[in-house]
Amino acid sequence: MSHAHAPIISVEKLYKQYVRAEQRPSFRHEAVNALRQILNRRPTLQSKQFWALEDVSFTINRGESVAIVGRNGSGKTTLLRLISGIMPPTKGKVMVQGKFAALLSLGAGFLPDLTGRKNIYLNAAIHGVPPRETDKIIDEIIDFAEIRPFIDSPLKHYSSGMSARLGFSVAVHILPDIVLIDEVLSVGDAAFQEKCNRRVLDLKTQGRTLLLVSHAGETIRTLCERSLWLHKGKLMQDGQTHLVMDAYEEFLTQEES
Amino acid sequence: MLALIFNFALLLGAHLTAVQIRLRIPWGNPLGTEYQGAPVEFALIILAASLISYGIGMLPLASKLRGRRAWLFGLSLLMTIGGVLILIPDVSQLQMIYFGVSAVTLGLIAIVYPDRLLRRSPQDTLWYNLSQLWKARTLLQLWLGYNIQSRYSQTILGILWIILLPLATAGVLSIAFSQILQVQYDVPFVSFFLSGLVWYTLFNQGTLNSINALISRMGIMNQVPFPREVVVLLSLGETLVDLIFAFGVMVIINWVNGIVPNGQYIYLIPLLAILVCFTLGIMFFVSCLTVFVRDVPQLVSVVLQLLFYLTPLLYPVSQIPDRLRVLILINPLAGVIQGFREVILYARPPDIVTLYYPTAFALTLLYVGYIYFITNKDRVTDYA
Repeated sequence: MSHAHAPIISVEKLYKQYVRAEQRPSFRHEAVNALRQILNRRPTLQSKQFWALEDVSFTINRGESVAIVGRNGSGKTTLLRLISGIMPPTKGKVMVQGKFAALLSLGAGFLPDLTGRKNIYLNAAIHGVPPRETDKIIDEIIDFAEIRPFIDSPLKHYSSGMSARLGFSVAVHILPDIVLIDEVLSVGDAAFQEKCNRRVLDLKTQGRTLLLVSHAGETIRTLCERSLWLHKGKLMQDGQTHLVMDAYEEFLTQEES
Repeated sequence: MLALIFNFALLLGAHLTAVQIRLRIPWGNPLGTEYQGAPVEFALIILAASLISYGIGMLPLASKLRGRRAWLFGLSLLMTIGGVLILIPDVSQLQMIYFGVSAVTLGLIAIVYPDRLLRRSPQDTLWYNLSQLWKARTLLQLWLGYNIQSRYSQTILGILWIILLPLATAGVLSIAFSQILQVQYDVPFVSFFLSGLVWYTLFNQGTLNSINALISRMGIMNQVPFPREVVVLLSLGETLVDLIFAFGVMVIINWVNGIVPNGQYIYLIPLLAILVCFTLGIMFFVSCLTVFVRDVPQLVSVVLQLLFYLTPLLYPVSQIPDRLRVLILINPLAGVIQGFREVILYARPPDIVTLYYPTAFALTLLYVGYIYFITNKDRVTDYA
């Protein structure tokens, strides 16, 4: 690897702005706004905007495993989406050096009308794994997800746990350079969770980079040596897990009282 | 910038040639002597029209009409009006419409001015996007295969419907047109109608499919990254597969009516390429615009309805009254459909001169549509 020492993910002054969803664009809005602007009045239907991420910068080196913590709505999921390339930042830069990053979220990006097997091939192809490569690992994927009896029925008949398990299984078997995990380690029963954690540890020992969003302090402390704490879109703290987690947990108890 | 100049030259050439030559070599009846070629004046007029559109394209709202922009706007407006009045005193309706088309098309190019693409990062160029799309070809292949499988396996009559629907339309309309209205056709109406409808359906269905192309796949687009163009190409692919079946049926029905396949069928390939470029350009526009402005589907259905009657599908070109012939000339689909018909029914190669305008139009539309799509595709997930 020529870039062995270069950061695998580098995030520079990242900003992401959302427009609140109640302002759906339509001809009526556009026309009224245009008319008002011509008449030099303030547009009435001005869309309300807010920053989901503000001025976030950090770098992650190859092989690091990093947790992202923060309260609901602090921008954790947005950050993962920006890194995986699903959406672009409003301002700032995200640079990813690895071959590809697999994002693990509860929806997993499956098509409900296709069977589980077809979804495996499709999901692998989206991440750049051609079907003939998938052929080699498909049995492993199915067995890991423990859904062999249902693999040829449409995904819409799956329970949420089943599709989450399948999503997890695909993502860890196509061997991405970067694994982004968005609160999916808590799916399934205790035995499956144990299996997931072991698999994630395996990936870690293989030198893959791990980015984990979770609310489970215990998982974070065991899996990650470094943590980022986001609060209302701003990066509050970046450092060793035990330090960040202590500060974050203290902050949480303060907020409650 | 280079692409813009190329594009501009293409369109200009197309207009000049199409207008000049088209008016002298008409379909069937002569169109009249309303225009004698005067390339220099014509170039000036079109230049002025495009300056106007460029001015309009650069200003989002009239309130920004200040300084240099106002001068540019005023100057181009004067040039056009003056040019029309002085240089060509007997300006015809046809020429006016051509100016309109050129102004609107170039305005669109200006709105999606390619330099805007470079706003975010240097890698966000046309070529970068195309190379990303090329890398996703296995995905496209796989996805398209699955879609077609489920499409044809769900309903028992799956394939049959695709064949039966155009036949049913042809049957109903043949009663109306050949029996009640007594329009004269030199070939059986079903053959006449199908030889145009099969191709028109590609455009029609493709446009309709593109309305939902992005919206219906919002879920997967929010969860995994892949080139967004794939979903538009998926819609096109499905329509193309339908076309294969419909084409087969058309050949059989023509054979029954005594019109056998001929060697000129080789011309169907370039004709289809023009049609696909045209359709894809519109699909890129419609699919993206629908996400931002939810009123688009209604508008699209009205426009499609209108186009169905403005395209010579139901009637031969020779039956159109002279004063309405303009409508056929400005409709790029008309030239293409007429070309298909020449090949299939009369075993004649299509008129190259007639096809120049549709080709230029289709390529421009594809280019502009694609630029619009890749400039705006990133905003799509924000509107989910």
